[in-house]
Amino acid sequence: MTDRAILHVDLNCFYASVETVLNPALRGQPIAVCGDEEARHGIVLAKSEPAKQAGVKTGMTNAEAKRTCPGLIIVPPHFSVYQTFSRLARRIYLRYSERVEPFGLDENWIDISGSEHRFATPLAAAEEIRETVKRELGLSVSVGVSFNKIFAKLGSDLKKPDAVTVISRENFRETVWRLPVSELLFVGRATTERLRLAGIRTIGDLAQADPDILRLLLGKNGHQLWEFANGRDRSPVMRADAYVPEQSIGHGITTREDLTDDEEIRRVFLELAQEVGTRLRGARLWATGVQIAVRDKTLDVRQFDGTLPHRTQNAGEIAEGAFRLYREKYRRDAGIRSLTVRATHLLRTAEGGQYDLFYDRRRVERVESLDRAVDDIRRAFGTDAIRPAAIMLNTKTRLSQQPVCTLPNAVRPAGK
Amino acid sequence: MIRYQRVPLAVEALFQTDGRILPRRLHYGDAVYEVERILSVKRFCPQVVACIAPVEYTVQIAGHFKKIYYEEETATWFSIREVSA
Repeated sequence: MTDRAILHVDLNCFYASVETVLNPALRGQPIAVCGDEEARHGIVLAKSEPAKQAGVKTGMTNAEAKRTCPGLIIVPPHFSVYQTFSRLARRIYLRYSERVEPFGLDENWIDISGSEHRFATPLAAAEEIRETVKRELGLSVSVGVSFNKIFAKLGSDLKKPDAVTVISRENFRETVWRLPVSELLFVGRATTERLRLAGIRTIGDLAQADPDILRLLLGKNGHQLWEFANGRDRSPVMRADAYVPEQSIGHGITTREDLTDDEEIRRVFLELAQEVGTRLRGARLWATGVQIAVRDKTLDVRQFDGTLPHRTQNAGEIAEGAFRLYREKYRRDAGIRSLTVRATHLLRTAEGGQYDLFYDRRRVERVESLDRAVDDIRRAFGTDAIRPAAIMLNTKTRLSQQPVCTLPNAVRPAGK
Repeated sequence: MIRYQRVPLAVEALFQTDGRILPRRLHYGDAVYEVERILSVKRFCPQVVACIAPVEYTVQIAGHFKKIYYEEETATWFSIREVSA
């Protein structure tokens, strides 16, 4: 059986590059696409190559970035245009294969196996794609070419911008194994630290480690990472029209001021869970798990996962699960800048899932009936037409600044 | 230093049954110009003016070769003019 030919195409400095297409006078300048400072989203979302060379990093605050690169030009993001360019790039990739799988807005895997009649080598296909994207969209890409998705992704990160890197079965030990283990997909900060403590610093160290010890260290992910490091990833590139079931439904917010009080945090979780509950009900999904992400004022982010007592679509229960997780796991004491709640381990049916000892079916049915009524009111009169009273006390979120009640013909209650 | 400007165009075009769009006449100021020939059609981003993945038409108008662009995202036609800075 011949090897697969998989490309990973990464649109370089995507947001910043799109901004230079929209305003060619910015080309060659140090620019940073930054969030709105007033809404406390004032961090670098993307930067151009010259800004990167000057030391600007994604996630820096606008002020830090300006200090690092005094000539930096800050531009606001245009997300809908980025989505358009992302769609146009995918339209190009689909000329080469129907197996095109997105990984965020700016990255895609393309499986071109079986197109030997069109291209002498996968490298030739990669070069053609790189040139086509540049010619038609004005954007540069870096392409990784390999026999599996993990190494293709790694390849696209190795040479940037506007370059092609081949990682073959013959050269992957020399090319990949010398790299730090953190370069491998799915190896995050916490995993890197655990591997470092076990003396594993490079991808080669990981590849040559005992898989049983890795399993003990990292659970089943440990074995999977060992397979990745040894070039044994066999995951397919999904077809472009493949249905991918939702893994989670989440909602987050950056608050106007830092949150310092537990009660305040509980209410923000409740506010976020409103949206999560509505979307779960709309998608006919039930959550059996909850995940929270907490970013403090130093921009440190912590993420925690937990389970819910029973499957639910109810905002109050999701919020309580999120708050319990926060109380049990979160240990830092800097003011909190942003919170995210995600409903996880989703079920496609109302049945199933584990029930706790105190599960009361009648109560759950009453809650579900109430939720349906709330959804009906929101559909007719708007999302903010009805909300839990506790949320009205949230003065640090944007929602609380909106009118309490919106009537259908835009007539506001007297005195508003 | 040369700068470039995007010049909006009013164009009469034939939308063919296979989806191809062929410019027939250009309205420029008070004048109307016939498109005598279409020499090439390709997707091409000129990178000197703001645009989103336009289609570039090389056409012959009044005996001269000219490039005009159709931007699908905004359904607009334009040409590019050089202006001195």
